[in-house]
Amino acid sequence: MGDTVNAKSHACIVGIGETEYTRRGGIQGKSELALACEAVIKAAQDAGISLEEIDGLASYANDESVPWLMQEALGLPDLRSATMAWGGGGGGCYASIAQAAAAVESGAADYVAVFRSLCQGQRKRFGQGYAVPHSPGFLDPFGMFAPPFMLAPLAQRYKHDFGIREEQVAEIALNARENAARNPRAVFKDRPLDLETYLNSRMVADPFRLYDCCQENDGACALIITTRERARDLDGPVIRILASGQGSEPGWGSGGLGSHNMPLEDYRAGGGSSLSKRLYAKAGITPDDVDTAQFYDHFSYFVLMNLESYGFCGRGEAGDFVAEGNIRWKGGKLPINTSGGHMSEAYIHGLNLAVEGVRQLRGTSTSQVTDAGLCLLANTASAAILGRE
Amino acid sequence: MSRYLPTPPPNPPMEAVPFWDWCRKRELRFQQCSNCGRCRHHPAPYCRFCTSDQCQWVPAPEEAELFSYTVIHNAVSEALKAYVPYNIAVVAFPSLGVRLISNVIDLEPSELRIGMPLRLTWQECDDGTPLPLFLGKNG
Repeated sequence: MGDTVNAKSHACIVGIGETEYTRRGGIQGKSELALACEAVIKAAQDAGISLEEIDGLASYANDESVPWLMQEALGLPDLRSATMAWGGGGGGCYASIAQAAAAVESGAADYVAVFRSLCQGQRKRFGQGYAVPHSPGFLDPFGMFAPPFMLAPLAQRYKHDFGIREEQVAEIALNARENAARNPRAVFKDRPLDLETYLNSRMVADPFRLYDCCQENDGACALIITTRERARDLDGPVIRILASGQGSEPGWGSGGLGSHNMPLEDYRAGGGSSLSKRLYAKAGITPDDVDTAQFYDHFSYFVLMNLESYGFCGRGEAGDFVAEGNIRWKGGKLPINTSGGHMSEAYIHGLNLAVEGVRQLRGTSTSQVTDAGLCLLANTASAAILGRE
Repeated sequence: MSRYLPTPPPNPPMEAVPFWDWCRKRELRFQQCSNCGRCRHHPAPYCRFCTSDQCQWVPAPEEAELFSYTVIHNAVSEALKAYVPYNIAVVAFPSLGVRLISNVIDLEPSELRIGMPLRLTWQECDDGTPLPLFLGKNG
């Protein structure tokens, strides 16, 4: 792969760490802060560095394990960089990786731990109703309380305009569940799903059926990011961050969670059509070079939209693309969400998908893609392209 | 007609206060840039097309169209349990180039069609503020 890549990025992922993942409410004896610490400790061990060497922290979605508590809990002697991808919930996930990469490339820090910890049982439940800041005063009076409600109209329009059939979109959930069956960490490892069950599942927010929605979970995970030079001095595998970034189309604004006033072409594109071009150019690759992708599967239809926005098929063609088996581990052109993703491994707000991307490039996934050299991580507002050293 | 949903009254930020002041007079108005004439929603302190901070509030036509929608089957609170399934509509005003989140209060879920004509109506919420809602029959 190395010869095809001319990325100038020097940041690398050298460690991954995860707690157990459970259904919402499954973790009661440990705090969200304790889970964050556990994930960072495991990631440092995996990287072969001591905790004292971590001098940067990065997170997103206003993670409540704030840097000063983390510094105290982990005894970090010299915390020089602490960055938070601003707003946007899980959309900031790969932005936090971009900020960590920028921190090590600029010298602001040597080893940054990127982490996300979620205890939806102990704290706020994302899927439940709450006042939303995205379009203040214009959503609550009309009963638009929770993320599936806000995002369903985008999926509805996409489905309508391109004639997407439920049998096609079912592939997102079925693929995730099949991959999860091979993954001992997956919360839904032993819960097989078939098309009939999918099609008979209850409607949550039309067109989202139950199985179009991700899980709600407890758990934490972390990555250790450093420079390529330092990475090469460590014993473990080195995974390059060839490109990473954030941002949606100029008209996206508060996006699908907000005003619903973006242009039609953006409304049904899932947010990645500009960012994808920027990142492919930065990494010096094309979609054809990508071996596997981990898409942010909060809601299935957004995976379809982003398969298109990230150039794996034309606009409106993702229904056929997935129905032809292209995203499956067995025989697929682009196996996606190989850990089971948010739908069937766990919803750790995007970062567990990054951990799986690293695993693919190390050759240690439970649904390993043969000779995986390039992995895309993408959601509606940020993305990263990882490459094997 | 009884209330479509027992939802909380609007709690607008400063930019959106005029929108709801007009609603109290049962007038649906959108923010229009005084310089370039383009409308925007939700309300914002500057025009994103020309950066002017001067604006006026122009009346919307009574007629609109259904740009997209969802039908909610999950009640997020006890109070909403008697109201599901209900719809949330993305209502477009093509002549102004803006869309509003609202509800179509006279149609069953199966009657909703993207592109169908809608007509403005009003229903008061708890604090007496009239909410701009829509009718689909004879829209």
